[in-house]
Amino acid sequence: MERRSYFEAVNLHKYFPGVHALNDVTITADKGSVLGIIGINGAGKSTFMNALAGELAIDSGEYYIGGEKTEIRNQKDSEKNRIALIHQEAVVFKDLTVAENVFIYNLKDYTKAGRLQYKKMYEDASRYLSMIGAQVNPRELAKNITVGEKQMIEIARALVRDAEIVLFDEPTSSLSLEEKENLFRIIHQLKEQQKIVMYITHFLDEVLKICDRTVVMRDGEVTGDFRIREVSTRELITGIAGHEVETVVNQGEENEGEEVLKIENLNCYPAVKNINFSVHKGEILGLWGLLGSGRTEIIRSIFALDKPDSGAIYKRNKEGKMLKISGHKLLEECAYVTEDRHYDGLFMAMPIWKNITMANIRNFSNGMMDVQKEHEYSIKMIEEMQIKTPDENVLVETLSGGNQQKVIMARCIGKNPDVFFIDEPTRGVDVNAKSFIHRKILELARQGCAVVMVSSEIEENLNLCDRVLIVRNGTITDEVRKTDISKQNLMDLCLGIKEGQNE
Amino acid sequence: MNNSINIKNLKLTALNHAVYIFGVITIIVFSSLSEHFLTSTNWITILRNSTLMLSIGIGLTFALIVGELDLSVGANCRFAASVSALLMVNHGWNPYLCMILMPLLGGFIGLINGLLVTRVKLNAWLVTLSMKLALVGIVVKLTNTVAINMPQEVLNFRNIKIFGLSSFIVFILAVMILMQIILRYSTFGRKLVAVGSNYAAAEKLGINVKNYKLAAFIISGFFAGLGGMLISVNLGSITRELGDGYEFTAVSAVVLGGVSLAGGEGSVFPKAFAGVLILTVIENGLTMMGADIYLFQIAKALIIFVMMYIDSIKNKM
Repeated sequence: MERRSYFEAVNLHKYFPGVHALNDVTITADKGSVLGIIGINGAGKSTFMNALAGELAIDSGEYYIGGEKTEIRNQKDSEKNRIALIHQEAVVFKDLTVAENVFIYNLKDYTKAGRLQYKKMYEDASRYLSMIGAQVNPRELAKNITVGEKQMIEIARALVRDAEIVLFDEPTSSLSLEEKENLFRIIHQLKEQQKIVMYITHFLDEVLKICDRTVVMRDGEVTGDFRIREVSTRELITGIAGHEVETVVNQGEENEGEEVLKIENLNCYPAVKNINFSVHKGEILGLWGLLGSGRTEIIRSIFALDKPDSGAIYKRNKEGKMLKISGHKLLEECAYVTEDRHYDGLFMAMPIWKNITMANIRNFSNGMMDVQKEHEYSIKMIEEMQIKTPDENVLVETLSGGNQQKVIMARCIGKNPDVFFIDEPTRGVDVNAKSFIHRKILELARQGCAVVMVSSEIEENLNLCDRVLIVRNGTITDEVRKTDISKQNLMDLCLGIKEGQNE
Repeated sequence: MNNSINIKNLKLTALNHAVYIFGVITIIVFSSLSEHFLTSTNWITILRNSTLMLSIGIGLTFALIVGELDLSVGANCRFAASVSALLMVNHGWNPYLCMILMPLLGGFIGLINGLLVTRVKLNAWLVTLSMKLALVGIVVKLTNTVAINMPQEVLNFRNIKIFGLSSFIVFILAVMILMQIILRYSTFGRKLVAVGSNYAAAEKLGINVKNYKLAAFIISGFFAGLGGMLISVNLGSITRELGDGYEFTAVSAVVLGGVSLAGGEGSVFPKAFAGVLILTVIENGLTMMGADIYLFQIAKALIIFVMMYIDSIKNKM
């Protein structure tokens, strides 16, 4: 059969224990184009990328590049085929300089008589970095640069290796607005240089913006292949989910419940300055600001995870009195979903049931654990939260991102909290799980729980919040009520543009 | 395709139980080499010889579970035993009281270790290593490296038999089961595992992570001291070799048994127990065959390498 595209992966299969991760996947791409690969977590897109990057070997299937049949069994093969993967979390060595990081695979080329030719390395590094418009000092240590700049290092590495096929795995998930724009520019540039770009993401607006074509994956299969010009967002969402997905919107009346939690004059230098706010019963309060504005730090200092320099927290107790409460006690009493479920959310090596009961362990014990009760409860929660798993004994690390997030939600809901802190409720979560989690948050609020939510996604703030506090430079600069919440408004305020009500 | 998955699962199961398979093979090999190996007298000897390492291993398992290492256990054992023995022999303290004092002293040293690690926030390796040096120094100063012989009251414990076994053997086996139940089924145990499995996550759930770490250090010290108590009964004297290098033997044993160095994974029984028993069996078998004592050191090192290798294969699958 004649090969029509420059890159073709044909009939790929990959099995993991119990999962058919790639099921007869055929994906093609042409030079000078950007191909989007979208799908929910566990759809197989990461498996596909990792196979191309040589990080795992497929069980059967064929690759053709430039019309020639080729093998990709390991990273060496991948490199030989001039494929480069830009990881979601850039792989950099933080104690090496930027230049050393850029040439980490090519240090041999810069070695003369056993010594590294630093001068040449710095020069070449600046050349590669300026090619992608990155203004980083090649002599700087990698630990001192931003997330976006670290990504630039990875892209520069791809250039150094003269990659023909550049894979991006959810590259924007932790970038600032500016960094995002710069990344899109670079992708455009790569496209003009006749490279093949493959772009995995959850963000449909990004696919619509930068891709020429997109492949939709679901349950390990390719379920759609669309030209961007001819497709609508709705079609894509339906393709990803396999059915229509509703957008969950908070339609509750603006109601002023009683104050449940009050933060007074909270300071934690330098990230958190003079924070004052209260949360009310049944309210969803958004903390909105750019990455690095201090949103997460505010929550951390409320819980005294970063010890505050001054300030007081008051929480309404069961008798209805507002009493001063310590950060630690607050952690015990309310539920807290952290930003990074891998780092400080889940017990990855433990089964689902232990993860679910961990937050309210007291309900299942009188000194000794009532394991039977724990199992029964977990099975109930798995059902209620629609967690996709064969049973409750599965280790959490094997679940997809969406299901992991649901496990965290299940754990917190089980605690029956009156205050609920959620940092990034749906980061790295698929569309189905996302709308499910949104629905759950609304349900909690309706039951009287006070919710404090931090989200980088503007839609999440628009759709869910009753009130949004704007965080800029570690302090609250504005408050927007539900009736005034709009995209433009939020953007203007967080960027510090005055008179933001121009909609 | 299903077939290849089955084979993979079978391999994984085998690797997961490698230490037990290895133990059975060892026993078969030794019993074919020596007819005295598989006798009940010999197995009682093996059990008796394993009591000290078992006690230290139980304590260490708790430290490892929360993700910390206690390198002071060997010296702590010697310290607790020596100080109590001196009080008993030279100062006329009640022997029974002094026996109970041993694990308490050990626990106290554990408390100091734990406070330095969790409150002063020092590195556990360095804290416990310095503690080891300090304790050895104190013991040498106090005893002038002279062995201390136990009074008759202590030795009498050896002669009390339960199910035909010396009382101290039955005692430590019972304590082992108790500690496993605590680790596996108590709320306390669950939280310890949580702290070791993901410290940051446990902290966010309002678990008092520092106190759980502290508790693990106290338990580790307590069982080091308890080891001193067992050896007093078993050998009847506190020698100057007691506990020397035991931190490493005990770590090797429990890790061999399958307790993770990374925290959050392990058990007192069967894991730590299996590791301790296998090392003791090998030592016993080699001695019976009249092998050089240093051969045991080499054998021990080889076994640990092999087991670590198997572990790394397992993690790659």
